Amino acid sequence: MVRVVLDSNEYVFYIMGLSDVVEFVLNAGAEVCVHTAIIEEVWRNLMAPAHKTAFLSVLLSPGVRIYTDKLPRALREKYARLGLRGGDILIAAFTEFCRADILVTEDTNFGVLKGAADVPFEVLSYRQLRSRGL
Amino acid sequence: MVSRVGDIEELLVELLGGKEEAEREAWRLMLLIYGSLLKKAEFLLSLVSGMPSEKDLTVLKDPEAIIRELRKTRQKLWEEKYQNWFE
Repeated sequence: MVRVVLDSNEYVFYIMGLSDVVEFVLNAGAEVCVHTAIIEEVWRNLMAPAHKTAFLSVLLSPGVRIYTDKLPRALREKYARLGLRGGDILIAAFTEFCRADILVTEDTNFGVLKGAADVPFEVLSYRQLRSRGL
Repeated sequence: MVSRVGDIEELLVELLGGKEEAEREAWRLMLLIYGSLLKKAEFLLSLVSGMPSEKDLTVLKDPEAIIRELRKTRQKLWEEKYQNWFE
């Protein structure tokens, strides 16, 4: 089974109706892994009850697995060495930790990981994922 | 294929040997079907209940502006607690 991590921007765009990334990934049979850090990033930026409900509804999907684990410090050092900064390090470390195959993000900060050796997952925008398929 | 609540009810009555039996077992079946979902909902609600809502990004129309704001939130969270999420 393919495992996917969706960055916080993907959830926000989905909730706003700007993308159908969640349906695309879940309907393809992939498992979505989400860390509490990503949940908190999204939650802090939602105010409307309908948007919060939409987010909760996504998280309650059987194909979505929530992680609260602490991550190995070695992964933090690895992704800092590869050029990521601040919280982006956590997202990349989590993607490796949960053994995801793909990190889907619209944030170009993660571009430094593309083509890097020893990164066990792909970094794709939703558009790239759609055209390539799961 | 069963597609309506009425169909499910009829099927249950047939499978369990009567309406009374089906009604008696209904809650047990509900818990069996939805139990794991209820647990996840309870866990999720306890998780988000400790998280503040600070702003409404959905009022922004420009995707780039949304990404910039999310980066600010990520930086703020990193300073507040991300470093504790490594061991």
